[in-house]
Amino acid sequence: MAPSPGLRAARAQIDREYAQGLTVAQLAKTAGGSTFHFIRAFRQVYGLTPGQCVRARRLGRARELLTTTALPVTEVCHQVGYLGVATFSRVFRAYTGESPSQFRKRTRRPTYIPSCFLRMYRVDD
Amino acid sequence: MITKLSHVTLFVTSQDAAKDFYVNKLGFTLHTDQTMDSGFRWLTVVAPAQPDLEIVLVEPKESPMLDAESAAAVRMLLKKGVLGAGAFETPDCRKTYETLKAKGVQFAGAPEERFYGTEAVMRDGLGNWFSVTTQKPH
Repeated sequence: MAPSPGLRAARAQIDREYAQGLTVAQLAKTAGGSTFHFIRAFRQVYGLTPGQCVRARRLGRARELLTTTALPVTEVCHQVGYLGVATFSRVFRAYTGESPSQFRKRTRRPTYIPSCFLRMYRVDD
Repeated sequence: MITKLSHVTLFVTSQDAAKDFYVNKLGFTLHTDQTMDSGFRWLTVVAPAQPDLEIVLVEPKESPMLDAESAAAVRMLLKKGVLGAGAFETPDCRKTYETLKAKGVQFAGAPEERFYGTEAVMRDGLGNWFSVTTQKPH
């Protein structure tokens, strides 16, 4: 089933604003329908509820930040839209099976700086 | 086969001020802020809908790429605010203009209608100009 323009707009809003305290009511307004019908139509088209979609975007971004940056977990939590680190950690563990710190320890990669920048700025490490 | 752009350099007069502007005012996400033992600071941000394009915020300093004279020239051009940078997209140019103006972002003027959409021109205050555009569907 192809998404309607309203559903596409709501999905795009999730991609842009997932870290800004989006509510399902706001998304339903974007899509132009009642909250009930919006949730049902969204799940039919995308296979998950709007709330699940927002959570997936937040936690996906959290995993990227934990893996590729040295930002403290509290900062990662706020950057992806959670107000409290306790809630963030609980949701993260339920979604991934690990705490944010455990995930970071397991997946941390060295910072990727393309060689052209290292050459330009004479970075030896 | 090259598939996409992953990093783009943006010269700025101050990395601290740039981090504050792009993250706290424009709402971009901080990707990496790491200072190496050599003192080199790798500072990158990403736009909300473009998390795989890192904007590398760089202060022009003497390096193998820029000799002292060239670095000074870039700093002078930045201070004059004459380096064009690029164009950003927004779903609502007028709303974005009002929101960013309220946060103290400088604009060359109010949004205007063009054949391609609604556009406002913004300065980051760190040497760069950007169009902020809502494009018409095509």
